[in-house]
Amino acid sequence: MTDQEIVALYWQRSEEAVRQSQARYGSYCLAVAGRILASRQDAEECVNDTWLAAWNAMPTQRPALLRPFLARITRNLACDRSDYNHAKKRSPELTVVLEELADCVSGWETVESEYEAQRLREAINRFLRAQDEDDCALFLRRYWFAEPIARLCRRYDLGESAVKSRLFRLRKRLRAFLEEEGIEV
Amino acid sequence: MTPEQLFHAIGQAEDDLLESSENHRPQRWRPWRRWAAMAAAACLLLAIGLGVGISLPRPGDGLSNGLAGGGSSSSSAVEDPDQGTGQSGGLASLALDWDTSGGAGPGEAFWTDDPAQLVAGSPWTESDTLTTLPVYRHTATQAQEIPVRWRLTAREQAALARSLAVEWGADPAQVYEEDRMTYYGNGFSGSWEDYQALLDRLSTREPAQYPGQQDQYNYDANIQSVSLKLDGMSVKVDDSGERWNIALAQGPQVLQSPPTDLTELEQSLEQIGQELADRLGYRQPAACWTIDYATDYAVEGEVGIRPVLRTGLYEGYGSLEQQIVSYSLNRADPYASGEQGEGFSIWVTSADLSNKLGDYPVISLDEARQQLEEDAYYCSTGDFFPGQDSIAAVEIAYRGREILAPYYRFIVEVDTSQLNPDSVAAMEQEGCKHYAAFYVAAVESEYLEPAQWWQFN
Repeated sequence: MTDQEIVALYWQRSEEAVRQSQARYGSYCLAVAGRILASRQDAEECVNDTWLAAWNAMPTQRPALLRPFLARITRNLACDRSDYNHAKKRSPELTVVLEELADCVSGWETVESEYEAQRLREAINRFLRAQDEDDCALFLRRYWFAEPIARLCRRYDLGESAVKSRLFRLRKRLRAFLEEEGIEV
Repeated sequence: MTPEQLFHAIGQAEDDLLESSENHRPQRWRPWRRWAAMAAAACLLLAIGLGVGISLPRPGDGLSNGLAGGGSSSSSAVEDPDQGTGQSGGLASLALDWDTSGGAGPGEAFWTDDPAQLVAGSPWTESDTLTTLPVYRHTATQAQEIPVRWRLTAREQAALARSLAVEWGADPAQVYEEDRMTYYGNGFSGSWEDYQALLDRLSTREPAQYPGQQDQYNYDANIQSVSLKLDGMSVKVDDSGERWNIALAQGPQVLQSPPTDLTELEQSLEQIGQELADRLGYRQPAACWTIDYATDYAVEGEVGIRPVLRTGLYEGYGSLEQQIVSYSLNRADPYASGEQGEGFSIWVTSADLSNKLGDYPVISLDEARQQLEEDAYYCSTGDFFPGQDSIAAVEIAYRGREILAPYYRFIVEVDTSQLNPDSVAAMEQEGCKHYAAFYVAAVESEYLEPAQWWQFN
């Protein structure tokens, strides 16, 4: 069944939509949640919540690509559950990812209006599109999917220091880009 | 901003980027290619030193190279198993790829009160009948193995920038002052000396970790563009060798915003075309433009709209097929620059059309409309095709990364329910509607690799 057909099931309010989503993307969403949360049980609960959120979102939404749409829901739910103020709920990998991202920001809590959040969102997408395919994919695999360094090394057939160097340069580039865009980092 | 806030914001990366990263097959690093490229650059430098003439791309060069003696398949087409090598009537099957460059960027969507102004000046109109259009393989100027994005080395980009500067009237004595050239790439910007120091720092080697694996080199300092700053002029060139920018402190006057009378716009562009015809290599410059509207947050708490005018010039001499190719692939986009709009800048695109795959039969406009109904289209905004009644305009444009092929580009009115309601209200108040670009391959489907096309949508 194609993504469009599954989305059509959601719009028809057919429960088959959830079954198909689970069959097709259940393990994928579990992997997304599992890299953010320390507990498998928490990750599984996130995935279950994903189907409810998708059910509530469609209609009115009609995503062209279902996999990233569902993955984003899962990721957001996992982030909320990880409760940033309590590091115990975070996976060790997420802790390292956040330490790396600290390179790009001041560390000061900033109050974000919806307008500023939208500017930041648009700026990040512009930054990603300005990178070549390898760099864009590497950045997202590390900082969206929280993929471990070791796995990135196997995927890119590079040594650990090479992957870390590329990520370091990407983070520097991101910071410079955001500052040029007038985004308060 | 905290790392957590940034992590959350990264989570809003657009769906197509995420999907691409999932499907992406990383380019395996082959260090010998970088050494081969440097060796080629060294030869080029030696040639320059010896006074040997070098042939650099010029606007219009690609047009004559690619369209001369048209009507036959190129015998020099590279047989690439990844690109499909099936034959149909002597023409190779095409594995269409996608490249949104040339459009309005990610999410090609527009607000306008007159959709005809999104395709104004396009050489093709609905009353034109075409039987074939050329298709090209996008090739590198160096060895075939080097990806297009690394076509020119740092020195070659600098040489091109200098050549263009002289062509546009710069003082030759200034042009070769090394401290006027800045090199950009992978977070680096600086002089040639700074770049050499960076290469020394980055040139580390990771020994092979298992038998049969090659040593890996952390040598990722590719120069992606250069900028030559002179008195009254600057030139920017990127590593494709196909796109550059000339900025003049003083030059032809370019309208900054659309006039109420479009005749004024046409006359302005005609005048610019005549002034620049020789430099651009156009025998008969033709003008095109788009006018759309963007939201304007200049006044806090209010959402206004402002018109956006984009102008272009292309070669209007030759057959309709030649003009269509130039409209997309060999064109110049002038614009006013400077704080008061007193300066002149121009983006020049001159695609390498030396590897023509052939003149491919194309479908009719009616057949293309039918393909929209059958979901055989690409739309970067993710909108679904709403129906034939929503088609507002259409043109033919070339797109592609490895394969430069023609597409019917439909301007279609689309739903606004997912957009910012304040923006929608501001636009609708001015009589604007929202449109997205839908692309249908113009080449007949029997010449297309079907699997490659459907994956886009």
